[in-house]
Amino acid sequence: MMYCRYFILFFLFLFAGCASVPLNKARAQFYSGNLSGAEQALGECSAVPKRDRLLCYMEKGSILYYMKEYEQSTEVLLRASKFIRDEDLVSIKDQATSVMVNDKTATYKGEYSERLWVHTFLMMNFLMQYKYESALVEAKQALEEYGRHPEALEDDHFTRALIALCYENMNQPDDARIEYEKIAESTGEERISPAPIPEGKGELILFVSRGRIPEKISADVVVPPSIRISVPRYASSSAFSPVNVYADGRESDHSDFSVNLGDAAAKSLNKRAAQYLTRQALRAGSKEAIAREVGEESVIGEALARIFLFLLEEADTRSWETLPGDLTLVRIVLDAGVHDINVSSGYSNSVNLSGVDIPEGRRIYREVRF
Amino acid sequence: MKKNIKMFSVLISALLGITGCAATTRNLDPKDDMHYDASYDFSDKNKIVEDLVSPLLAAPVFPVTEKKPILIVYPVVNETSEHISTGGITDAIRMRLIQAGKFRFINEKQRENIQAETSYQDQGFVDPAMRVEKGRQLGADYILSGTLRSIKKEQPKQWRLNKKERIYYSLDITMTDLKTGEIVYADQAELAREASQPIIGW
Repeated sequence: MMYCRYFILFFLFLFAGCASVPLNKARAQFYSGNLSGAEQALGECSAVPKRDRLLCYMEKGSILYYMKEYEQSTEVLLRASKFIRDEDLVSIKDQATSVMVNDKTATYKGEYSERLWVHTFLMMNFLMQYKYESALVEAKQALEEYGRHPEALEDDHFTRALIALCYENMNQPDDARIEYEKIAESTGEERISPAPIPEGKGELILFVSRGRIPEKISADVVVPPSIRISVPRYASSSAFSPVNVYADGRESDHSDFSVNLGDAAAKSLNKRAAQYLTRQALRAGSKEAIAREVGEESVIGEALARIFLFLLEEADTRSWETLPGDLTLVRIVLDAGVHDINVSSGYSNSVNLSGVDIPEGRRIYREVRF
Repeated sequence: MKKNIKMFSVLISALLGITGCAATTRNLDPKDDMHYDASYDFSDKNKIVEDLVSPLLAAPVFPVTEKKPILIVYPVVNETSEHISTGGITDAIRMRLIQAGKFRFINEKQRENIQAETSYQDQGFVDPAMRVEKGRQLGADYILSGTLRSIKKEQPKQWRLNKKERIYYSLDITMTDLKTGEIVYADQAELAREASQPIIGW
C-alpha cells in the first residue's frame, strides 16, 4: 500500500511539465535578432512532444513570416490550424494528468486569441503572395473563430479589417461593409464603406508589427497548510503611439486598424478562467487527499509529500511568444508610380521603403516590423 | 513449465499487438462514395462535375452543328471556407466536355508557354518553313466560369457527447457569350452533408 502511494508520487513527478528547450532557445534567438537561428533552433515541429507542438508551429510560423518566407510560413501555420481542429476535443488523458499534476502536462491548444491569429498570419501570408482566394478562405475561418468567441475577440480590429480587405480583393464589397460595420460598432467611430481604388491611383497596404506581446506569468496564492493555487495571467501590456506614414516626404492620409495583442490575449485568457479554475479546485482536492493518505503512515512522509505536491503546482504559462505587441493595418491610396515611403511610430528609428512601385488600380503589400 | 507457458503467452500477445499496429495500404475505387468528415473530398468533385456536365451537354442552347462552339474555361473560384484545389474541378469539367466532342477548347493555361515558344521560333533557330504563323489562334465564342461556395453551420454549445456540423456546397457555372456579354447558360450542383465527431477522446 505504501509503495503504491510512492508510485503515485513518482508518476506525478514524471508527468510534471518541463519547458521545451528548442522553444526557449528559438525565442531567445528571435529577440536577439537572429531570425534564421531561431527558425533552425525549432527544427522539425513533428519531433516536438505533442503537448508543445502547437507552440512550435505557431512560433515557427511567425518567425518565418518575419523572415519574409511567406510560403514556408503558410505551410507551417496551416499545420497549426489543422492541429487545432484535430485536437478540438476533451482528452481523457490530458484531463487526468492535469488534474493530478498541473495544466502544463496537457496538450496546448492555444488561447482563443492565438487560434484567431493563426488565421490572421495566414491571411497576411497569402496577401503577401497575392493569393486572394486562399486569403479569403482564411478570412472565413477567422470569422468562424469570431463566431465561437465573440466577446473574447471583439477588440481585434486588425483581423476584422484584414477580413474586410480579403472580401474587397475578391470583389465582395457587401461582405467587407459588414466587417467595417462591426468595427464601427465596437469602436463607436464613424462607419467606413469600402471604396474602389480611384482612377489613376493604387493602394499601398502596410502590415506594421511593433514591440512584443507580454509574457504569460504565474499568479500564486498559498492556502494553509500547503495548498498552492497558481493561475496564469498576462503581464501588463504597453500602449503604442499612432503609426505615421510619409510618402515622398509628405505625410500621407491613411486609414489604420490596430490590435493590442497583449490586451486581446489577456481578455481571451480571462474568458476561459472558469475552465482552469475548476481544474485548479479539483487538483487542490486530489493533492490534499494524497498528502493525507501518506500522512496516515508517516508524519515525515506527509511533510515530504506536501512539499513535493506544492512544488508540482505550476500555472500553465505557455503562450505564443514571438507575436508582436501591436499589429496595425495601414491603407494609403497613392498616385500610380514609384514612391519612397517612410514609416515612423514613436520609436527612435523609422523604416524606409524606397522605390515602391504602385500600379494603377492595384494593391501592393509590404510588411514592416519595429 | 508454467514459467515457459507464461513467457509464451506474453510473446504471442506482444506479436499480436505489433501485427495490429502494422502499417497497411489498400487501393480504393475513386468512383466510390467515401467521406471521413463533412468537408469536401474527391467523391464530391466527381458528383458535382457529373451533375453539371450532363445537363450542359444536353442543353438546347448548344445544338449539334458542324461548326462547334469554341470555349475558354476559366478556373473555378473558391469561395468556401476550406482550402480546396478547384483546379481539379475545372480540369474535370473541361475533360468531360472535350471527350463529348461537342465543343472546341482554347488552352488558357498554356498561353504564356505558347507565346514563349512562338517567340523562340522567331529568333532564327527554327527552319522558316516550319515556324508557327502568328495570328492564327482560335478566338473563343464563350467563357465558361464557375464558383464553388459553402455554408457551414456548427451545432450550438450545449451538453452533448458529439458535436455536429452541417456543410452545404454549391458549384455554379455560367456560360457567357463573348460577343454580346449575355449569359446563355447557367446551372448549379449542390450537396449537403452532416457529420458528427465525439467531444471526448483518449
